[in-house]
Amino acid sequence: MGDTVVKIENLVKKYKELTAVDHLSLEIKKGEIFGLLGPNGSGKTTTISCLLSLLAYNEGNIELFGKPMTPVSYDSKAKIGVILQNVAVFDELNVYENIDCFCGLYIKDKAKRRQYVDEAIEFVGLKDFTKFKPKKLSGGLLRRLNIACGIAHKPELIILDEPTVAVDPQSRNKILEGIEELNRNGATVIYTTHYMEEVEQICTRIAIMDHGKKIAEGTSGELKRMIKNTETVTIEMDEPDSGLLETMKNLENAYEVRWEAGKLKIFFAGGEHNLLNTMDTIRTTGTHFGQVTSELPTLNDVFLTITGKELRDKD
Amino acid sequence: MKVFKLFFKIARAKAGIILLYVVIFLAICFPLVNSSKEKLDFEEASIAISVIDEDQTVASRALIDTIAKRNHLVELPNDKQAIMDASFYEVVDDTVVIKKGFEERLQNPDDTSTEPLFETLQMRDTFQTAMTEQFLNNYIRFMKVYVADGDSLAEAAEKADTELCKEADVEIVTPPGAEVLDTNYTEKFALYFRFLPYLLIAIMVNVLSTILTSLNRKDQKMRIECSSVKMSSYMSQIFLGSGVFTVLIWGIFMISGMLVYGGVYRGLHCALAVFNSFLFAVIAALIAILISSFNPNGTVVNMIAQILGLGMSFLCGAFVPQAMLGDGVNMVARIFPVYWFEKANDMLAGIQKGNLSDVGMCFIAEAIYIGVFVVLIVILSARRGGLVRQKKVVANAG
Amino acid sequence: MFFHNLKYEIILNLRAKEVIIWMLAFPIVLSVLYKAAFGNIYENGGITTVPVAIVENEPDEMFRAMVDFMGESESTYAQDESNIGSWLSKTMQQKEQDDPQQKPLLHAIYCREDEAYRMLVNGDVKGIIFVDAPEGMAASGGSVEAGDADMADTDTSEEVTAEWSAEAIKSFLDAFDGSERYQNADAETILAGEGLSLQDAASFKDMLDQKPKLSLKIKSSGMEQSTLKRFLETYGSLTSISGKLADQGGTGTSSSSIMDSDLIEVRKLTEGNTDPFVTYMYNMIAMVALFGMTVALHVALFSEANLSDYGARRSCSPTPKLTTIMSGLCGCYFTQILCVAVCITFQAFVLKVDFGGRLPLVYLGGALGAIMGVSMGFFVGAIGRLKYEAKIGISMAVVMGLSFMSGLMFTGIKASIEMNAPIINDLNPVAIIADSFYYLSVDPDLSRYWGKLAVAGIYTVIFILLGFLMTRRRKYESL
Repeated sequence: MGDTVVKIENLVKKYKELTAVDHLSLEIKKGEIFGLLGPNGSGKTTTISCLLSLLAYNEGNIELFGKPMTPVSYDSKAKIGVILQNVAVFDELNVYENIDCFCGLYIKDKAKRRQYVDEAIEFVGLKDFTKFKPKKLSGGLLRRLNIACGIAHKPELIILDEPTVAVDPQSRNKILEGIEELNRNGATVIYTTHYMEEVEQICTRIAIMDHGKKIAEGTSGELKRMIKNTETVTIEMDEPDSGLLETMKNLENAYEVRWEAGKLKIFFAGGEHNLLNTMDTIRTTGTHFGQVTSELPTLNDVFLTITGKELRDKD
Repeated sequence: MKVFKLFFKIARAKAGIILLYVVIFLAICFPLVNSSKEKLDFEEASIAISVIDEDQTVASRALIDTIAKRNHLVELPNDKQAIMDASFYEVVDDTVVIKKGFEERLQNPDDTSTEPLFETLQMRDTFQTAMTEQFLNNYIRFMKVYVADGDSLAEAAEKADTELCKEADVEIVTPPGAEVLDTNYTEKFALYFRFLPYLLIAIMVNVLSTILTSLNRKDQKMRIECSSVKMSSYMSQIFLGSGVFTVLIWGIFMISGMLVYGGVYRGLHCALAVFNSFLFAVIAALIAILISSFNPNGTVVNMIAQILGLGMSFLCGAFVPQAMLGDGVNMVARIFPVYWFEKANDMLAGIQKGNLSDVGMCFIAEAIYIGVFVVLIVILSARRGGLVRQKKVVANAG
Repeated sequence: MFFHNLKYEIILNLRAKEVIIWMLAFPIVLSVLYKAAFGNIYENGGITTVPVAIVENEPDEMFRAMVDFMGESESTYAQDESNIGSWLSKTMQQKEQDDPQQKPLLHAIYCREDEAYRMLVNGDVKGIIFVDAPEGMAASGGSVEAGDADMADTDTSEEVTAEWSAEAIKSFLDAFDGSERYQNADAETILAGEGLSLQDAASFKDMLDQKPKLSLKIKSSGMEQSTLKRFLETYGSLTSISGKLADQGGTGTSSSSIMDSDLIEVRKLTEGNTDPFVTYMYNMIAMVALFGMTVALHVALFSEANLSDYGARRSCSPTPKLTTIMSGLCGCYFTQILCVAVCITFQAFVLKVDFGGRLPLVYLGGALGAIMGVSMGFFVGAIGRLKYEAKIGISMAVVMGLSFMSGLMFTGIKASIEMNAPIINDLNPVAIIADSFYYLSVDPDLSRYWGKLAVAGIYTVIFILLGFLMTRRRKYESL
């Protein structure tokens, strides 16, 4: 631990008018599962493409494994596994051949390659489908094949660009578990997505991007600590009078009370037993109420607080 | 009209290819159609001869003059390969070598040597080469006769020239009872229409098939099936789109045809030729729709377009006139719609014999093709719909 | 790495079954159609029998004999035939039968005027020849021809007539069958040899003197109509020469030496395939070779990160781009050469197209054409960010355009370009390959064949270099 695998400094990438990546700096250490979170169009994929030296960028430095990354950094490239957003497999080749075809770009030794390919097939659970052509695979299996093609050569750094788009929950879990397993086996992982649940589930460290800028970075907990809200209590009830609202606002740690659409929302910052306190207070007022829930802040709240908009737009 | 609009959105992306075809076609047709004036007087199909003069004498030059008067004299370098190429491509029909000693031997009335005076270099044994040999022989005969008569070489050459330049009395007649040709639809301009089938098939299959294939893609079709657009409305919009597209393409060719024609079409035969081409445009569109129902990919569509376009054009007389093709070929060609198009076109231009009712028969034949293709398309689309539902087997073990 | 990629490139190409099948089916179907359409056109050396109607307002047996000599005839009415007339016809037809291979030049139908016009309207005949009495003949007994006028004055005695006619007959025999069987014979021997009487000889003289007025009526110009015209002119020349020879009868040189038609030595320009139809086959192979363009479009596509996801994946790997591209190209070379080889094999062995005696070199030319086509496709694939489909469309249109200029649709195009702007032919890749086959077939000297192959090689190198230059940019402005 502690070795820097990826170092991005002040990366700027402009498409004519649009600045896709704006002075972005990142440092990813060995053994991390680094989540790059952001809404569609926030510059995640562009960052990845610059990192891989596929895209020319306007400013900044990129180092991989302590060496500057260029299109001819074959030593570095050999240690990277890439799973890009779109499925890139050949329709004419079956599962085994596809993995072998791409693995062959990294591993020369035939026997070793055969072993690696078999392991990759085992790893993504496609053993029963080795002779299948991609067209016969369901969306989830296709994604897994796509991943197998990227990781068969046992890379030290695995870059996954939204690997779970359009994947059923079962396959998604399988994929996420797989990523964690790869990480346990020693691989550093960069993971981009706009599904915050995934990031929360597996990432050791997270950077949130918007408009090409990094707007926050840290562990899931650290990020959540960045915002005032620690707990939100929601109570189903008829429209409260101003007295009740005032009472609720005076609750310990509460900083905002809102009633909308038949629900009263009380926002707390820090403190303990906020739910209990609320229940006690409301009971004393004798108000009728329905369901009561308490929610801890999510990354969406973090994002919402920082940018003033939902992380996941109508996706 | 969502689907209809989508249709033309896809079509617009293909405008470049269509333009490419139209421009190439016009570039080819302009010089072909306008190369020379319509022949009203008799024009002799001349024999192209090149001469290599090894003798270089007054007599040999006199002969060359005479040859030039009656034939098309082609200047060629004295190089076997150049002569070979020109002969192979029928730029020259025959090459005459006037051998050294030509004048000397003509001058000598006692020359009985059977050594050849000429050498002819031929690629093939043709009517033209036979005529050239005949011409040379007769020239020598005349020369010898006159020299034997006591004429000088120059006098003899002049007389031989006069003899050989006597032209037969030829007259172009409009025989009594002949249908008067519609001179508004000339044989030359008919070329424009003659080539059209290749273009129409190439464009229709290339463009229309691709549009329909992408509209027919399985997920797209499923999306439409699930949407509020009724399948029948979807189909009718696609048909409407194809129809408008066909008329559009056909219209482009009719308008560009006017450029070649030099103004608005005139006369009944032109109108019928235009109608003929419209029938064929519909046939080409139906062929394209038929092909698209097999969901071929881009390269394959191109290949099919070329096979159908080139194959039918050759077999049915679009490139080589039907008259030049053998009877057997013309028999086989009858099963292709292009044959009837070309036949009607030939008759309208007066290239083939036939009156207006014969032309009408060709139109009926084309109409039958339209009917047959429509039925095929309907049957195929009905059967395909059933098949897709039955054999959708996708592995899913996630 | 290279061979690993090559293996998968070839597998990918061959598994794209639809493309392969069409790539093979295309030339095979087309060449069968070509063969069907053109296989017979030139079988008779381009000579076709011209149907012609003959209207005899004034029957002329000499002319009839000439028609019989040049072809076959039928008559809608009974024709009177004199002794000398049947002799003439027989002699001439005998000559014709010597060469049964030869298709007759004319098919003559003797008929009445209205019938002749009807056939002309229908297109059953290409022209009508009218045989009329010579102008002014009836009035003066003289003729417009000076020679004939002399004749009329010189003699009336039977002896001279026999002498004259025998000489004329001999001239005809010499001219038409070249046998010189009466080299030094006297008049009597000749007449006896041919079974003719003195009276026949006299009527022969009349026939020669008569010189009917011939005229041709046609509906439109054309090769066949020109054939008829030339036929009439040749007839005119021959009778004129015979007449003049007869005038000189017995004086000076023998007519046989004058009529000796063997003063021309015909030399064939080549032993190869001279059928112009074969250029369609050459062009078709060249076109298939150039279709390699469409096959190779994906090579750049699959190795360029900005063009495809495969490209992105490959760009991220430690395998240098040069290696992936080279292996991709070689894979395409292999598949395309295979396609061209199948095409040549089919034409050479199934359709029995005559490529001349150097088939291995035909395969070599085809293979180099395939390599050139694939390299061009690689170049086109590397330029710009046009959609793959659009590139296919453009490649196809380019190949078809080049094929057109090389004469795939009309052979005449190639010839006219060759004569007016040969540089275009020298630069047109389809023409380069097609011409190399042509040289191989007709020209014993192979230098021009190798020249064409050299140009194809230069093209290949240029396109590969340009393609590499385009793909050399390793980072993209946008993906």
